[in-house]
This record gives sequence, structure tokens and C-alpha cells, in this order.
Amino acid sequence: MPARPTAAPRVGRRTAVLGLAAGVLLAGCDHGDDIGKPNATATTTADASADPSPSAREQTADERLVDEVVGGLDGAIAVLVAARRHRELRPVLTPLLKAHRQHVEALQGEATETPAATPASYEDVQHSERRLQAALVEAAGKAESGALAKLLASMSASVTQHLDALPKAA
Amino acid sequence: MTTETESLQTTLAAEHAAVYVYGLLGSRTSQTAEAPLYLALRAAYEAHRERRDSLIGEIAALGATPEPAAPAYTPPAGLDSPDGRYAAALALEKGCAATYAALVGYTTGARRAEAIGFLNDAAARELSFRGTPEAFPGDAR
Repeated sequence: MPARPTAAPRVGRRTAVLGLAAGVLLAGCDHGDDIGKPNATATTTADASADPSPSAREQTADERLVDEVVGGLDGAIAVLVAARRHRELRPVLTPLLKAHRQHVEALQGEATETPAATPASYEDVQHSERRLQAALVEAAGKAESGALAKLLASMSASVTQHLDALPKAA
Repeated sequence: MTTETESLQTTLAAEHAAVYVYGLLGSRTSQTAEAPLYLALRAAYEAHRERRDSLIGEIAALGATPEPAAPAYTPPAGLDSPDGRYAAALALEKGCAATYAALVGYTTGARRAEAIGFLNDAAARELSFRGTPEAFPGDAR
């Protein structure tokens, strides 16, 4: 089993707001039923007086992983936003965009501002989503926390569903 | 704390139930009049049967005794209509997805990779039973 984090509650570079990811990271190798209950876990695994600020210590491997995944999600969202400029694609792509915003919220605690996007085609979306799905699978395999692994695997399955539901050609 | 072996046993129990229920649903479905549903049920039955057999081997290789199938299972409701059979199959696959998601959390390495594959397969299969894409398949939140 992966090692259980023993340090104080840690907040990733991007996780200034304690969101679900913090609960995940605090949950160690437990399977994730405690996602979304960071306070209960924190009292048993962390010293409340410890300085949790990012500058006080280095990121854990899982915090770096969350940052990488959120970066990938930001990129996928940017492609979707760009492709939605084609009015006819909006009904097809909106559910996927909503799902990705929920994914970012689950990892970061709040939705990021959508990055500026360059024009994108339907094929760009398909390519971007396939790349994201593979990245999520890889990240789920690498996570030290079982709870984080479960969350990332679920996100990969979400992308699988959305990709399967997309029309083959727009 | 749940161990990897216990989680595999839980997954095996889910596979036993899935094989039973998919077999039952298939037996109630017309191969010609309901061909899409029949084919989806058959594919699901074969996938879960293969997974069940694989898990039995994995658990035995860990030195544990694989959980046997239950003597009987409660049939799902709605077997008498195609809509009911779609709904039962979807509910079953969602249950399997939740089991696989839990298995991901309890495993590492190759076994976790396998569980991630199971979860992705179940999520895709949900669509063949009129499921719609979700943000977090297998992970109720």
C-alpha cells in the first residue's frame, strides 16, 4: 500500500482554497469515502499548530500530481471553450465542459478562470480529450493516496463516457 | 482497515452477482426482437464472467480462498419489459463501477491499473444500457 502522509495538512500551490483534493491528500491510502471531509481527517493525522503554508515546506508527490492534472484539465477546457465558438457544437460539448469544471472543483476547491483559447475544431476536442483520458489514467496509477487514485480514475471514466457519447463527426 | 485481498473478494462477489443477473436478463430478452439489448447483455455477461474467473485466480494466487457465489440472488425488478431490463442492467453496471472505484483506492501497481481499466469499461458499458455520461462514474458525491 502507498505510504500514508504523516505531515501537517498541506495545501498545493494551486489549492489556496481547501477543497476536496485536500481531503483526498489527507486521507492517505484510505479508499476515499472520506473525500470531502477534510476536517475530520486532519485532526487525526496532523498537528494543528503546524504551518501549512506552501512556503513552509515542499509539495508532496500527490500535490504535484494534482497540479499536473489541473493543468491538463485547464488545457482541455480551453480547447472546449474555443470549439464552442462554433455554435453548432455547443449542445454536444457543453456537458463535457460542465464535467471538466466539476473535475477542477473536486481537485482544487474552486473552478479556475477559463484560460484564453485559440480557435479549435471538433477534431481538436477529440484529440484533446483522448490525451486527457490517458493522462488521468496514468495519474490515477501514480497517486500515493488511494482516495486521490479513486477520484482520478473516476474522472478518467467520465472522459471515457463523454468520448463514447460524442458523435463520430460533427 | 480493508486490505487489498478483502477488496478483491468484494469485487469477486460483485462479479458473481453480475454474471447471475446478466444471465437472467439475457434469458428474458429476445435475440431477434430486442437485438441491441440482447447483444449488450451478452457482451456484459461474457466480460463479467471472464473477470470473475480472473479474480478467482488472482485471489487464489494471494493464498486466500476465493469467495463462492451466493446460493441465490434476488432478481431485479422490471424483468418483464425491455425498459425494465435496460434499467436493471444499468443499475447493475453502476454498482460494478462503484466496486471497481473502491478497488482502485485499495490497490497499487498493476492491480490498480487493472481496476482502473475495469472502471473505465463499466463506465462505457453503462452507455449501452441507456446511461448518460456523468462527472464521476463509480464515485457517488
